[in-house]
Amino acid sequence: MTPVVHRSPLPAPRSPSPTACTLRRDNRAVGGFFEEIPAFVVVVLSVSLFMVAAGTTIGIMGDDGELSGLQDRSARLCRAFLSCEAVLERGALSQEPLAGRLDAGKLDRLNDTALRGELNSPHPYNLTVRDLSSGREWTFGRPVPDGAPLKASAASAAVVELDDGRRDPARVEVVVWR
Amino acid sequence: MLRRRRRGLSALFDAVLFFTIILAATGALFWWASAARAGATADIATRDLGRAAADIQSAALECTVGPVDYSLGGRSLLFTGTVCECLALIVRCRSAGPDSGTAGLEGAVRRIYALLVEEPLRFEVRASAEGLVQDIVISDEGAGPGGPGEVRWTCSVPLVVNGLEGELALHLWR
Repeated sequence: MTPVVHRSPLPAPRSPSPTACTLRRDNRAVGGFFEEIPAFVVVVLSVSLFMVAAGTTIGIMGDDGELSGLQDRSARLCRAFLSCEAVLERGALSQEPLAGRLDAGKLDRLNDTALRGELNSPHPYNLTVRDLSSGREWTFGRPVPDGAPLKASAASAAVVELDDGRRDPARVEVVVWR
Repeated sequence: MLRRRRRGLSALFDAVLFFTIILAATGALFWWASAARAGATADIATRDLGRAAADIQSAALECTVGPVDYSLGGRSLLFTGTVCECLALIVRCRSAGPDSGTAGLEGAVRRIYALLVEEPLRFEVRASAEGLVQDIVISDEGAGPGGPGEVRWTCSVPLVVNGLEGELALHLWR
């Protein structure tokens, strides 16, 4: 409220009523709204700053949590592939599938549909088995999109048994995205 | 007039104080968030490195190397077999005497581990056995000896050579 000050002396009221307002010229006026504006601006700025900082932090932490979850899923998918009977070599005596030992012949015959059924992943994935000695590659799943907002990968060492019985070092890489 | 100005200044002073407190709170929030993030990243890295060491060790020992030249007791021979058998043979050759050549075998083992261990990790394979005077150390080319505190993860498996017990350790570090 802006105080209204009349410079000319006001005529004395004839009969003072309870609703009438008496205005005088003196130094006892109360500070009004405009005096509080700088303080108000500073307070609004402070609160806005804190809200933006808190929002940013929550957003970053949320993204990190989501990425960590996706990372775990890619690692689980990698483990699942390395113990998937459809691609594993069998023991000479026990005929049990040997985890981590991939059979090159089975990898050649494996198709995406069969692997999707074995892995049962809720997310799209790209899985690559690379023979580190010969450079030969087997790729399954979808191609990795360039603009995926969240992408996580996991890799594991493995062994590929070739048709001649030789075992080469290999790496299994899984990329999962959302 | 003076009182009015004092009241305005007092409110501004309070607001500036509030701003300072908010600024400190924002700094504390960012510090906490970055510390929590760094801790989580370090935990994941350590966990992954542990898994990687075990995977690399089990995969490497199954791989085939050869044919590789070596000499035992002055005779030149050829070896073809798994890395595990190759390491056992190196221990046997070293135990046999100084006229045994195992450089080819060590090179073959180094190549297999170098293929499996990804950059920026460095590795060292250390084989020890009863009766062996000095441990056999096969390390990454270009990697200096891992000083104390540098080795982040170790995966050890038993190694039996000629009925004698030993140990094969893989050290990984960044």
